[in-house]
Amino acid sequence: MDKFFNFVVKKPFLTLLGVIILLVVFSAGVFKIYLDNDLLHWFSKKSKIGALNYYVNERFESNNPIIVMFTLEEDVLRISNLIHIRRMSKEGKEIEGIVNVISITEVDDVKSTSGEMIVDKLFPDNFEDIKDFEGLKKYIKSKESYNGSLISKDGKSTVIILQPSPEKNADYVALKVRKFIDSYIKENNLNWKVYYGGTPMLLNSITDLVVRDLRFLIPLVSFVVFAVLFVSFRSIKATLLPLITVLIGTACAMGVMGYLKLPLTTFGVAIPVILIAVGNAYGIHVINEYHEKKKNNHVDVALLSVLKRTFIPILMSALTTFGGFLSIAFANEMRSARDFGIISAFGVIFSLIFTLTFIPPVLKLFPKGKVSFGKLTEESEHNIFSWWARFVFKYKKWIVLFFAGIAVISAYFLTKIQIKVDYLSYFDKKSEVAIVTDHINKTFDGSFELKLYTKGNVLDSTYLRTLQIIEEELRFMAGGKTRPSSPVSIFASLNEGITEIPMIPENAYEVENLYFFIDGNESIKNILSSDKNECLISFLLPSMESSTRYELVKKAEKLLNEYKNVSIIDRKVAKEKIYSFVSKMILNRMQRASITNISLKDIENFLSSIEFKERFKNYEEKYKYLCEVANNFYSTFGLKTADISKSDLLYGLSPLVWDTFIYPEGNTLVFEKTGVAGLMKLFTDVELTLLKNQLISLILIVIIVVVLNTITFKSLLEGFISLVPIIFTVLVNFGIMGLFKINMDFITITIASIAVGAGIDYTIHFLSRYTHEIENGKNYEEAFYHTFVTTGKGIVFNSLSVGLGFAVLNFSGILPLRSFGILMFVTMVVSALAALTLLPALIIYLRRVLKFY
Amino acid sequence: MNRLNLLILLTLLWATAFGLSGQEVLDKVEASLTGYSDQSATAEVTLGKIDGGVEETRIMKLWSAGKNRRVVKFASPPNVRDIGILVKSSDEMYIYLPAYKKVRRIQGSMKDQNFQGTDFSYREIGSFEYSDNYDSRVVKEDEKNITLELSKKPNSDAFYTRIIMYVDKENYLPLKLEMYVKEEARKVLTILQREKKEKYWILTHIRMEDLLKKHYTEIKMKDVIFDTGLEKKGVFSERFLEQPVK
Repeated sequence: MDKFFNFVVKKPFLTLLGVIILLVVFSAGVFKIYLDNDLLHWFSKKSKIGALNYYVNERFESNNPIIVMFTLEEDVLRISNLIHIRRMSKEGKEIEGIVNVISITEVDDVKSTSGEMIVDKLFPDNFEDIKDFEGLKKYIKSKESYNGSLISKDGKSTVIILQPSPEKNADYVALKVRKFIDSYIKENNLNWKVYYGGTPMLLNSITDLVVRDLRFLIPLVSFVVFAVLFVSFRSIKATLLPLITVLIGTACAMGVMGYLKLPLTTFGVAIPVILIAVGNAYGIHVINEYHEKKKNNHVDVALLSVLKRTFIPILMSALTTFGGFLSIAFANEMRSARDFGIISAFGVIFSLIFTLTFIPPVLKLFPKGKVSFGKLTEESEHNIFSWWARFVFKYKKWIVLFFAGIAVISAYFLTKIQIKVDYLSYFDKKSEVAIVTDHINKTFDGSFELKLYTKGNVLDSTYLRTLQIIEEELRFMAGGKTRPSSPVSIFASLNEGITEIPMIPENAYEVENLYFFIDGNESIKNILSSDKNECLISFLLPSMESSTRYELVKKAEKLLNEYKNVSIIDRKVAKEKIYSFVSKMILNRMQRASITNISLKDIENFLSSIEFKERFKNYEEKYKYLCEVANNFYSTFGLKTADISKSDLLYGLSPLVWDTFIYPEGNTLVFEKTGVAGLMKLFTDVELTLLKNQLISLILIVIIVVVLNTITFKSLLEGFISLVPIIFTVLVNFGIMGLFKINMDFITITIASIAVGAGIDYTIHFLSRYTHEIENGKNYEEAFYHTFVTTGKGIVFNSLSVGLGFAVLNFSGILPLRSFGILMFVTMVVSALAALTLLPALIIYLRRVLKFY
Repeated sequence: MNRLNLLILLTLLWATAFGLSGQEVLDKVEASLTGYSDQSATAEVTLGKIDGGVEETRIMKLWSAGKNRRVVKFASPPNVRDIGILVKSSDEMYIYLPAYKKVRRIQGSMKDQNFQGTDFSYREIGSFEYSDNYDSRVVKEDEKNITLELSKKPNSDAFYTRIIMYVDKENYLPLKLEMYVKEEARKVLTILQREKKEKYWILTHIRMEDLLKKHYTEIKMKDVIFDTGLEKKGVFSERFLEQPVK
């Protein structure tokens, strides 16, 4: 290294040329950076979390849907409005990247009337051909497949759901959809309110936030760091040098991101801010030391001395920070967290390299100038830190007890931390995105998918009825309103077309015959594979609390597992189970129709009062029986077909006429394979892995720090002692999160590791100087005071500049980044405080063991 | 040469110089394929991916008469055996499902949906009628072939906006059809083999490719019999539809 230092000092121009070349080559990669905030893309196809999601998206050509909701001042169901909806639907399907469009005008309907089966679009090609428009309107409003799914209950809102291809970035497709809809509305002077929802639209809003943040926060953090440095050094040169060093280091790191084709995510916003905040520390130490040495030495001698003296501490400092970021990279299955860790680690190394190759040559070429600290003279500075040293020395016992108390309280609040992963948590509740999403959720089903995947002989009635039981149980648990997209309802509708009963047929032969109608049909490819042995049930759900979502996902997994193998029981034996199931099915439909004055108990009582027939000869008998029960139901509860359509009610009652019922955990194999997928599952999985990743990353960084410090101080005990202030800091961080209900998510989870990696610097500097003073012959008391007055200022200003740099993230538009910024500020201040109070107190107590006396 | 002969010669020259119109060519094409009063045949239908292998083979029995009357019954595979479709007119279609032992009239927009997983729509299967829905013009003509461009008539409900038809000039049989929706080519129908039986031409082997789905359907026609009085035998009736395939 001496040869290198000599080269840097003796050949400043060449060294600077090398810096410029590095800068140009690496930073050019910035132009290759692209944005991708899709949570699924943060996991590889082979990862445990991502695998089924990717598979299901490709197999069923599905992706998170784009939802466009229109709210009108009049009824949607008017021909003039329907014409526009149809045009937007048809033209929407032509947009590149859209594979399917569902809207009220583009949906198929199956009806049965006296020997005829009508399989047609709900609305004909020519709206003028509709003979009974009022009748059709009543029909639509009574059917749960339309009411609440495609038309709102008040009839004034409707949705067009556009399905992007899984091969395209859904957020880019969503941008095209938005542009098209906006221009259509404008060109046609429609006085319609348009709300854009669905995950791809949310991703666009997140992207807007990311871009805005980058444009705003990078200059802001640069200004803050500049201000802190200027207050410290009172010299433009001394302020600009560390700042420029870290800016060029950051540019190179971001360029590496572009070259490695790593996408910029919400994590990525934090990278430049973190690097600017953390990376300038190395420059601060070099300049501080240089101005001390320059007083009595020639520039070359001073520079060489500075490089030799500061190299090890700043190298160790950089390596611990580097290790902190790498621990995030290696501990995470999430590619975004890994990429964040890797690029940040690169940034730290670049900052170190440029600190050693940019600052010294510039100082050599421009040696004049001095550093002074404003109103505070050296003497007053000396007095502050001497006072501090005396305080710690005198009250060391109370200091240790105080810190121990804080640690215990923090440990208690640590247990209160909530883990939450949700796109909506990015946004303020008052933000447009949150308001729009909430509005769509209240008017229709929701925007986030939960998908149930099964594999087996789909064209088997037992298989389909098992699916029916699972989807109705899950629907019941979710409150009953949400209606899944599923092959079950399609086969039930087709059966209705033939037999007038909407139900899954009794045997596989009938199911096979019904499949004839939909074989090769485009509209089923999202729910049924072409080889008929895989299917997908999709629920659209609103955003919900993590605990509720977790329970729902767990229930879905449990049901799929329980019903993998079933028993087929005769209806006579299964009477109670049938009644219980039918009660839930009916209640689901009541909930969806907003009929809330009828409880589950009411329905159960009603069913107990009807005659249970043990046998039916044919479909005609079943139909007659079900119609009697349905009529009885309408009159008992004072309902009409306008409240709940006869078709929906018959479907809910249909298990009453099943010849057999299905019990879970039997001997008949139904599903060869099952799984739960969709965004809801993704959120839940990420939450569950966060804790594990956090622990792994913490353990890794602790090991790295202990090893590095043991090497530096040549003592394992010192290596462990150096951890104490930082472990305390991490505990306080978690305690604050628990106390102030700051959620642990995929951004705040990185705090602990970064805090260890960055905050350990203060401990290293204090211990390093203290050891140096002891080795120079001072006793422990003299070494103690001298360490305080020499490193104290550096540690305080270092922590302030880093902490304030992080605090800039409080101005981010992304909520989790705000929490991250504030918490990082606190951890930097706490770690500096612990390094200057708790650590010295411990050193005094352990001086004999450490041989510091 | 007298004046009458000169007039005849000039008329013939005129007709030769300008050739047939697109509509005339189309009429000849349709006539070459539908000249019979009725036809019955067995069709072997093969489905597969364009860049993959064969997925499935089915056997169907076909009976047709005139422009619109058709009966299609499945002989294999077992899961569709005896399912039958009866088309009486463009608006009158019936289906028989043997599992339910019921015939149901079907109304609606199924005619442009793919027929039973094939790349032919209900409208296309067993039918070669275009003049009702398309205007035709000649875009190219050489010694052997004529290329027609068929454009959808304004009030037609046909699915394709435009069809390019390549016609063999010798016998006015189609060679290939390219079907477009707006500017996008959606399907290609290729006539791979044809035979003349009695006085009628049969397209014995055809292949339809769906360019979007990258899927194909090949139909081979066998045991073709013409003019056997199917109407009188009551083939185009619901009763016949219910009978099992022999």
